[in-house]
Amino acid sequence: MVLIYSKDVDDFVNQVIDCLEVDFIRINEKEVTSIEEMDFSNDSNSYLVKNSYLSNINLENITSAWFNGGCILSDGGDYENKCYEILNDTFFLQKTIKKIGKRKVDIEFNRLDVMLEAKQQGFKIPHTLITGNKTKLKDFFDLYESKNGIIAKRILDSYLYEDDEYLYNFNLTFPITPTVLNEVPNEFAISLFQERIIADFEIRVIYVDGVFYSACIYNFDNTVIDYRTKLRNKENLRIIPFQLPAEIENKLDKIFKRFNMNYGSADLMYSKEDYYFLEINPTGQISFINNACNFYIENLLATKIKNEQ
Amino acid sequence: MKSSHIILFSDCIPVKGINRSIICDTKNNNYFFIPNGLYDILETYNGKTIETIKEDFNHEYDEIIDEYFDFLVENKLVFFNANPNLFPKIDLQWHSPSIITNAIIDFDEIIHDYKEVIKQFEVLKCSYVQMRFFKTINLDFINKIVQYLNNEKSRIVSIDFIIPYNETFSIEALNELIAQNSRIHAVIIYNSPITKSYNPINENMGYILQVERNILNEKHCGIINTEYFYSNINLFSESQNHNSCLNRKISIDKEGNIKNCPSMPQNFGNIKDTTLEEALSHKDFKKFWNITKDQIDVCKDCEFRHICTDCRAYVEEPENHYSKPLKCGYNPYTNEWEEWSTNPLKQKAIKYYGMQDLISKK
Repeated sequence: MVLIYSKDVDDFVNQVIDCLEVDFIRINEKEVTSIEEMDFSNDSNSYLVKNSYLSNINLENITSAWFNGGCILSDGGDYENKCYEILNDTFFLQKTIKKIGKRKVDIEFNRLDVMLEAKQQGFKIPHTLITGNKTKLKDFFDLYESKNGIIAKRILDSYLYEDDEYLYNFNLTFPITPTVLNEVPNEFAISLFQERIIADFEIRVIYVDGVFYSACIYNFDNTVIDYRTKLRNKENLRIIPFQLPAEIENKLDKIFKRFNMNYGSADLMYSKEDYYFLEINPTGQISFINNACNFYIENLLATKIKNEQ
Repeated sequence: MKSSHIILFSDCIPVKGINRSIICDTKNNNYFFIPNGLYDILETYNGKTIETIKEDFNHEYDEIIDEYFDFLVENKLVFFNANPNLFPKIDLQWHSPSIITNAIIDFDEIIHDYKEVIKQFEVLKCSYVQMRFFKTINLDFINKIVQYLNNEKSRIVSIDFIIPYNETFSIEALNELIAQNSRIHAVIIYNSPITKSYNPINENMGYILQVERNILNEKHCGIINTEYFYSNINLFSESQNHNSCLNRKISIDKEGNIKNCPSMPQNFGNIKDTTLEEALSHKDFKKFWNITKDQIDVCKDCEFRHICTDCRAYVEEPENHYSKPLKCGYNPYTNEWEEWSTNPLKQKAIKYYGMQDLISKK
């Protein structure tokens, strides 16, 4: 039996499941999965769960697992959810089965860590400043004002910040304009700033257990900083297959391995024949790349988790 | 920039016809006419500089070549980059884990056991269904079907209802039904007093369309028209090796007969006593699945062959499996469209299929 951890809605997960042809259990973010019992004796282990589709599933018998975001949800409150999360993670972490992807708890990296590793591997990186001080930000702003300006990016994977009045979503990268700069207080929460690279195009790389699928994301509208904001404006965007040079693939392979990842995506920028490294992600929306480029990555992924090796 | 190498976006795929070509923009469901001369240039010189092309033609056609590439740049079909080898062609592979990808169920007097059929779709991994009603039905019935899909957590992600106009129908009630059921992809109301399309619902995933055209039976199907062209990578790649209408399709006609398509004569058992799987195992069920447009008379010379849905039920020469679709009025040799039903060469086939009535009512 194959275990799949997923967000509630994920076209790519559905496509993989359709190719599987073996029993599977899918644990979704917002769908209750009940732990019926975890029974550990000196002779045996058993871990029974049920959801609205399946009951009496013994997860001791799973032969491979694919972790693609999501979490386990109990029908109790926050406390029970937390217990579930820890119990479940612990159980899978100790199991020596074929695993594609990682649980969140098992990934320990941040933007800085990944960026420095990329630099170590010989990638170009955009000039980066991490600060919470307006004067330093102003100097950085001035340095690039006559070039392409600077942008702000989140440091951690979490992208929500809450104060007394509002819940802020800073998932997207945004430009630091003179207006933004003016309104910034003298001291603010530690933030990450980068020189803005005007790229010929962006590259999205999907990595599955040593295999690379790359796409060129070509944007006709150079004023867009984060293409995700303009995904719906399809007219200005093209997504086509890209052949990453072997040397770049090798560097990326080292980065993924350094962070113990066998599944994920990487974002690069191509500017005047240079490859700039932006970030890697343990999960990500890959179906729009997969479908646009006619890659059929679901076939490879299904084979990997079926063959248990 | 212009001195750099010119590259056709690989999701824009040129298709050569006998007289002219098109570039299929498979991302934007669009196509562009180009002369065959430009097709040949793109085949040979994709990834080269415009200067190289001009030189190869001894600078005799510089103006035309500039005109060609201005057109491609203007329509965002090409870009410039010094390393063309970084941009491979899009792979035209086509796979599907589904035994059946799409199904048609016709209803007239008999109300088939749709629950049983929907259960069988799970095994066949069929996710796209069209239900056509030749007799008036009420909204309750549609609602019942959709509720059944919901309760069963059916794998069907898209269902179309084609229904006759009925004065008691309220568009508001239909809107409500679609808004609450994202599985409904379209409700098409034929024989309507007006032709009108309504604003899409559920983030453009569901829509209502009223058409004046009347549909009496399955003989109304099979029309080839630019309206039915669809330029996307899935159809384009499927059409390379498979029939663009009949591949992995199953149908239940108004009598309950299981067929590849309701308009075809051959049936493989009745839904009352035969399972879809049993019907599919018959050696003839799939005999049209791999007939491609590249093998069909006239179509093989047509520039639209990879964005057009085929029809094998009604063809110009009924005895010939590779004959041109009867209801296509396009002539790729002259690039002209004409009314198919009045073409004197088609009258024999029209009579053969018993369509005279249907045509005179148009």
